[in-house]
Amino acid sequence: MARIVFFAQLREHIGISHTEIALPPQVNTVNKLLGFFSTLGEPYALIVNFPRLQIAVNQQYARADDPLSDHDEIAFFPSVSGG
Amino acid sequence: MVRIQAEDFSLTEEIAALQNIIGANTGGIVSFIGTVRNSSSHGTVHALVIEHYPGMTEIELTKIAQHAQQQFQILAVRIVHRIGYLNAGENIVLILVAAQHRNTAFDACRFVIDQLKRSVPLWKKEITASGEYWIEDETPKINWSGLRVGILTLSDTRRRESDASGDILEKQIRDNGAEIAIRELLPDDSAQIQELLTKWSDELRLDLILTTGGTGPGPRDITPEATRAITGRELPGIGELMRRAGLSQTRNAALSRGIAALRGTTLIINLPGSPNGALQNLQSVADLIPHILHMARGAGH
Repeated sequence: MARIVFFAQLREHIGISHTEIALPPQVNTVNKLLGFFSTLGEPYALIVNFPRLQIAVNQQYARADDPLSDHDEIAFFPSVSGG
Repeated sequence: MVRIQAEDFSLTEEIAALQNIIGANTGGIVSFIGTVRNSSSHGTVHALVIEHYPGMTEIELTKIAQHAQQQFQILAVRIVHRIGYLNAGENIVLILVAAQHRNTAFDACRFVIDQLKRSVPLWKKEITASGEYWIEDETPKINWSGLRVGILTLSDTRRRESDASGDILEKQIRDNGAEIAIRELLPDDSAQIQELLTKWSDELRLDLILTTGGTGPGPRDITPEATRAITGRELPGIGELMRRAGLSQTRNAALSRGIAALRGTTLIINLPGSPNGALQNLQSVADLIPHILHMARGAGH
């Protein structure tokens, strides 16, 4: 199971802070995970078009073609605003 | 040393702790404290609620501290950031930088706070009389979608794993919506640089090549000359805009000799070698780049 976590506006939009999802084996990149979300309907579908979406895999910023697996922690959040 | 905590910090105690680990050759300690302002575009702000990503926050803060150590001649850096419910007027963040020379300490301190605001997974929500609002990133969104970009780091000493400027540029290019087609690191060798820039322009047909490093007045700083040797028309105004933006951070920006020029329809821009300088220079002209490329291909305004 992949651990999916959300922060800030995205956490409020989705309504949960984290969940666990069994990823099909073909969902093995960040981009494919976004595609997978869009097939799941609400609330996951709205992640894909969230403005200024940032993605981290195992607590490192990730890009569209970065690999991921069913054991990873994948975080979705808006642009950061600390300091 | 980096720390995330709910409770307030004491400037005196933090400086004392810093002084314990630095020697008598310290020439100055610069401190920055960010506090909760009591007003915003939403009116009176009563408080902020700060959320973070436990674990990743510490990872990103540690990276910034390490980059500051690598890029500036500093003796120590200390970052403390608070989370949770903070009333107007309360402290949010403390940055301490110790160095032998004050300019280094000022530059490094600014680097740390600027980077922190860009990359550390912390989010602020304002509690105001009219409601609660997440603080949004209000910088205009740059749209580079469809652009294929190459990053070339020039340095005799840096290696890929310590290429902080390349890392920062890569993240910014991705945030702008463009594709990183290729990224490499070369020593300050004119022939090698010319060969690579030519190949990336003519064979890979990249839209944009960003170089970082080798723009200063040192004898090994030859990036502008190497770029000029293989390009046609220059865009001097781009260099002027970048230097003007850099001057708001440090007078050393005047020493960057970076140019922007076209080889065919590939735009090559020389950015300085420091991570903060490279990023700030790029951001000062980022919105113009799609327009330049559009015109370089023969289209009108």
